Amino acid sequence: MSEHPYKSLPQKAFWRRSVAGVKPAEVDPVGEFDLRIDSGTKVATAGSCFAQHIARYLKKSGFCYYVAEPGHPILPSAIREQHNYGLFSARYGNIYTARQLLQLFERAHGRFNPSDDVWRKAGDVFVDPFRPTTQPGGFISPEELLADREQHLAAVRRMFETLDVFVFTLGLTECWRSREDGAVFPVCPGVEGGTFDPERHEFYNQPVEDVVADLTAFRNGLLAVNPKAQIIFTVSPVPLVATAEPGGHVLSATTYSKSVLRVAAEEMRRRFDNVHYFPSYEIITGAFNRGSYYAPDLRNVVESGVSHVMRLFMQHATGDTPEVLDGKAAQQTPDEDEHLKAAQELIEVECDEVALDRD
Amino acid sequence: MSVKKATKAVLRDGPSQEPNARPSRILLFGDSHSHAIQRANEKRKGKGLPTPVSARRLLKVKNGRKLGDTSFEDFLDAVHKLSADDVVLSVIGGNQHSVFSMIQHPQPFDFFSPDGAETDTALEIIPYRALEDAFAQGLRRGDGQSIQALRDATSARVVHVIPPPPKADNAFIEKNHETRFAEELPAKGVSSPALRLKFWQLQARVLESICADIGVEVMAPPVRTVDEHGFLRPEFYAQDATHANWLYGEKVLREIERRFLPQHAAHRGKA
Repeated sequence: MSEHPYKSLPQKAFWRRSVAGVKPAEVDPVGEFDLRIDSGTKVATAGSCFAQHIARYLKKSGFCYYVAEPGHPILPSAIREQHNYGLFSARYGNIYTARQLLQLFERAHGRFNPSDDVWRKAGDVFVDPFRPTTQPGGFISPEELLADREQHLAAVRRMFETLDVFVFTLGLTECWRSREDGAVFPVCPGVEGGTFDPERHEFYNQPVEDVVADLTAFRNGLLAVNPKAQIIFTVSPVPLVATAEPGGHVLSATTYSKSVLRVAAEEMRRRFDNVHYFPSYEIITGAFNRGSYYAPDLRNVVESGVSHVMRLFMQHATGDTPEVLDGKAAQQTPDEDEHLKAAQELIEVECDEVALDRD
Repeated sequence: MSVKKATKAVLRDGPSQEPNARPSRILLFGDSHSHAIQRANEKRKGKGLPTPVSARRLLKVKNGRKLGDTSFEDFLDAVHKLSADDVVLSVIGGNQHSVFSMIQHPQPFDFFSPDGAETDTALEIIPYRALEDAFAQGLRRGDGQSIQALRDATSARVVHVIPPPPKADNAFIEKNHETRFAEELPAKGVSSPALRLKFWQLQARVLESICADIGVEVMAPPVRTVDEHGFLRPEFYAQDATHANWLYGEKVLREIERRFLPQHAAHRGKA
C-alpha cells in the first residue's frame, strides 16, 4: 500500500468526516486560526450588517468589546443604542466595501476629504453621505453634522491607534462612487439622502485585485499607527439585496461578490502574519445546514446561525467553552449616568424645599 | 410650532365661553412651580383682591414631612366635574431641564439647537435629536402621562404652563441653594447660563409637541418676566437655583386673567 499526502491529513480535511458525517451543529469549518484573545484584549468591530451580530455577541461575552465612541453618558443607554452608539466600535454605521474601509481610515487621518460633504434630506434634516443612517432623524444643521463628524473621526483614529484586534466583515463589492474624487458611498446617493446624478456618480463593482489592494493599504496604514494590531477578516453570508451590475442577476451577483471577498480575505491571510480569517460565511452558507440558518427571506441570518458562528469563534479565539456565551461576564453599560442621578436627587430636594420660599 | 406661536394661538382663539356666560372656573395643579402661584394667591387674599385661580400642589410626604395639599387622584376627581367653559392649568413637573443642565457634568458637553444659538465645539457635542429623544421619552413616560390623564379626565380646556426659564446669574445660584445642593455646587460648579437656556428651550419644544399630540394648549412664561436673551428677569428669582418667586406667580395670574377671564382682567384694570 502506497503512502500519499492525504493519509496524514486531519479529519477536518475530509468532507465526509467533517461535513457530511457530522451533526450540523457540530460542523467546524475553521482552518488555520492561531490568534488568541482574552478578556483584556480590546476587540473592535466594523463591517456590513452581519458584523452587528459579532458586536452584539462580543458585548454579551466576556470579551472586551472596544467602543471608542460610546456617546455621552448623560444620554440614557437606551437612547444611545437607538442612536447607534455601540452598534460598532465607533458610530460609522455599516461599512460594506474594502474601499469604504480604506477611505474611512484615510478620512480619519486627514488624508482624504471627499467633496460630497453634507446631504440635505429635508428642511432641517441633514445626513452624512458616509454614514447616512447613523443619526436617526438626521442632524439639525450642516454645522452640527460637521462637528459630530469631527469628533466621530477622532474616535475612529483613537480606535485604530489603541485596539488590539480589529474584526472586519466584508460585505459587498458593489458600490457607488463619486466621479469627482473617487469617494464611495455606503448607500447609493438618493436612497437615504442626497441626489443621484449620473454625471457625478458611477457604479463600481470591485474586482478582486482592487479589494486586495484596498485591504493591503488599510492593513499597512493600521500597522503604521498601531504596530501590534491584529486583523480578523470575515465575509458576510448575507446576500445582496439588489445588484446594479448591468444585466446582472442578484444571485449570480451575490456569488461574484462573495467569491471576490473570500479570495481577497484568503490572499490577505496568506500574505500577512497579522491577518486572520474566520469562516462565518462557510458556517452560514454551507450545505450541511440545508439552509436552516437563513430566515424565510433567504437573506437574513437566524439566531441559531449567529450562535453557531460565535460559539466557534469563542472556542478558537479563546480555547474557552460555549458557556462563555451565557452572558455571565457580559459587559454592562450603566443605564443611568451617576452625575444625572445625583443631579436628579438634588433638583428633587430643591423642589421639595421650594415651600421654604422667602420673600 | 414654537412656544410663542402656540401661545399666540391660545390668544387668537380666546376663551370658549359666550359673552354672557358665567365666569370660567379655573383650577391649577402642579409640583414645585405651583408654589409661586399659590403664594401670589395668598398675597391677593391678604389685600382683599380676587383670586381667580384655585391653585393646588401635589400632595406628598417626604422624610416625614408633608408637602402640597392635593393628591393627583383627588384633583382628577375635581376636574371631572368641570365643563367645556372651564379651564384646567397644569404646572406639572418642569424641572427636567435643570437635572440635565444645572450642575456641571464631569464630562463637559454642549449641543447645537434649532434656533442657532452658539455652541462650544471645543466640548463634546451631543446630537440634538439624541437629546430630544431622551427628553421626549422621559417626558412622555412621566409628566406627559399626567397631562394626558388631565386631558382625559375633563371636558374643560386643558392648558400646560411652561415652567419659568432659567436664571442667567451663576453667582446668584451659587449663593442661593438648598441643603445638599449647597454641598455639591462648590465642588462641581454651575453649568453655563447658555447651556441652561438651551435645555429649557429643548424641554419647552418637546412639551409643546407632546401637548399638541394630546390636544392640550401651552402657555409660555409671561413676556415681561423674561429678559431679551430669554432668561428669567432677576426680580422674579426665588431664593434658590431653579424656581421663580410669588411676583412671577402674580404675573402668571394676570396672564391667566387676561386670557381666560377678560371681564375680570378689565375690572382689575379699572381698579
